Amino acid sequence: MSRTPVNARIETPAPLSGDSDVLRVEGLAGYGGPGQTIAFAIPAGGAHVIAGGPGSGKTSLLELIAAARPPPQGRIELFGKNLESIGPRERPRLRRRIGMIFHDLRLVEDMSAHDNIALAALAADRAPQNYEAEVAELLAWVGLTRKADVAAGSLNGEGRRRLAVARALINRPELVVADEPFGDSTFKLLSDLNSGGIAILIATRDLDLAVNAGAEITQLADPGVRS
Amino acid sequence: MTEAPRSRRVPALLPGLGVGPLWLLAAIFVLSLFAAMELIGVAAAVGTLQAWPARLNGALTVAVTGGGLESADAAAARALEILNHTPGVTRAWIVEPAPGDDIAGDMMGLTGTGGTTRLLGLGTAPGQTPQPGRIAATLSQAGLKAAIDDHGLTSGPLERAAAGAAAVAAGAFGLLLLVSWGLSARAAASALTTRAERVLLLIQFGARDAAFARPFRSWAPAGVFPSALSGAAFAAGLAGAPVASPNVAAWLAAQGLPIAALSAPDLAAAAIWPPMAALLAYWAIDIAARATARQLS
Repeated sequence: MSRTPVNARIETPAPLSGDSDVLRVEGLAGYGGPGQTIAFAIPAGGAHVIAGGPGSGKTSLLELIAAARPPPQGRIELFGKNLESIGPRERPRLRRRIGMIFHDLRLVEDMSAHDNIALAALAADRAPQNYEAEVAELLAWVGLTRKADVAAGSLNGEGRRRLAVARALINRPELVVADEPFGDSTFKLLSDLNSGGIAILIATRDLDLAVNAGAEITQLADPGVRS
Repeated sequence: MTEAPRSRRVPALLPGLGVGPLWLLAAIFVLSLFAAMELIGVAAAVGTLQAWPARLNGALTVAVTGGGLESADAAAARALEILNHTPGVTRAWIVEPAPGDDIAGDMMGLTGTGGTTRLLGLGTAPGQTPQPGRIAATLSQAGLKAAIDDHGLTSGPLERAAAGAAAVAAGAFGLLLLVSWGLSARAAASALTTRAERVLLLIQFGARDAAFARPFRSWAPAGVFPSALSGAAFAAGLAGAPVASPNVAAWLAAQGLPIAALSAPDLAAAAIWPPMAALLAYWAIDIAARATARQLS
């Protein structure tokens, strides 16, 4: 587990247009409490935590960002590009630069651990000879080499979470978005990634954990509470 | 030392697509049956129609059929005698009988007589062409069942019927193409919609629209084409059976069913459909898969 992940060793991505923020959110409304607007930025290699209770809109916000969709109100810039002004062809390119870890993991249960990761690479138009070595390396990094051929549905909770992290990294993202990651080892992996220079955006309902992470925090108000 | 990765099967982006749903393949088979039948019919009709202008080169064409104890040949001989003495007619002749003459007789208005048709050509003096109605009346007075075509683009029954048949055939063929296109597109869209969860996951990983069209590429060559080929071959077999087997022809004739005189090139016209259907399906599936993925994202 002391190995440096593949993604931490990748070449520095092309310089971002404007400034070096991988994500910039401004004047975003409709999340958190009524009237609350959200603004934050994550520099390259930075970390940010969205904290909020159930129903505060954490998941919707993260999925909006990860899907590179323009917000109904406000402005989101991903890798220096305003989501309002990008075309449909550009959107998949931006999504490939994001590694998403879903709250419910969304693993393909009947596919092996190896194939779950390979699927994400295939979706990004990568050829097997181009990703196989990285899949093996990621499986080793998350400690699943011996379970490479085991169906995701047969892995235990810990194994499944590790697999979700490995899958999120296969396309060498510059930003990893994790929706309510659970378990110490997952946090350790995310922390290692961040130390390796990958920007992290985490949503959690655990404010203590957010404070301990030492990252900047955006607190979403309870939807029932007027801010 | 890191172990060299062993070769693995590449996982499918969209599982279980096969070569297309059974309902699509069945529908393509049925459509192909109709389309091939139509192509065979059109080829036969075109062959007949192409021969007509050369054969029916008189200013007017008269169709006669026998009645009672009188054969069609006897009726034609009697009509020839009458027509040669009709004012305005410079020359009358019996056209060499050929397959399709009965169809011509039907088109000219001898429908329902059920007998064999004989055609006669008439040469007329310039500016003195007798009225078709007058000729018909003359022949009718002599007890002959006859119909006249003046070969006018709008007034000639043969020309009108040929143009109408061509329009109907083209329309029906266009409709078959449209239905094939629609069914293929619908099948692809439905296959993606039922796999929406997987599609959304792939979209999140950065899959482009084209990535969703790719898994469907085997549908047209491995699913639609064989179905269309089977349907077309079945149609050609049905249409060609009376030609190939005298027993079948005799049986059909005994049932009172019409038997078209089809040639090998007429039957071969059915071969146009399968590649056409496969290309159309390929195009429809590609467009539908991309559009559905875009819609889902």
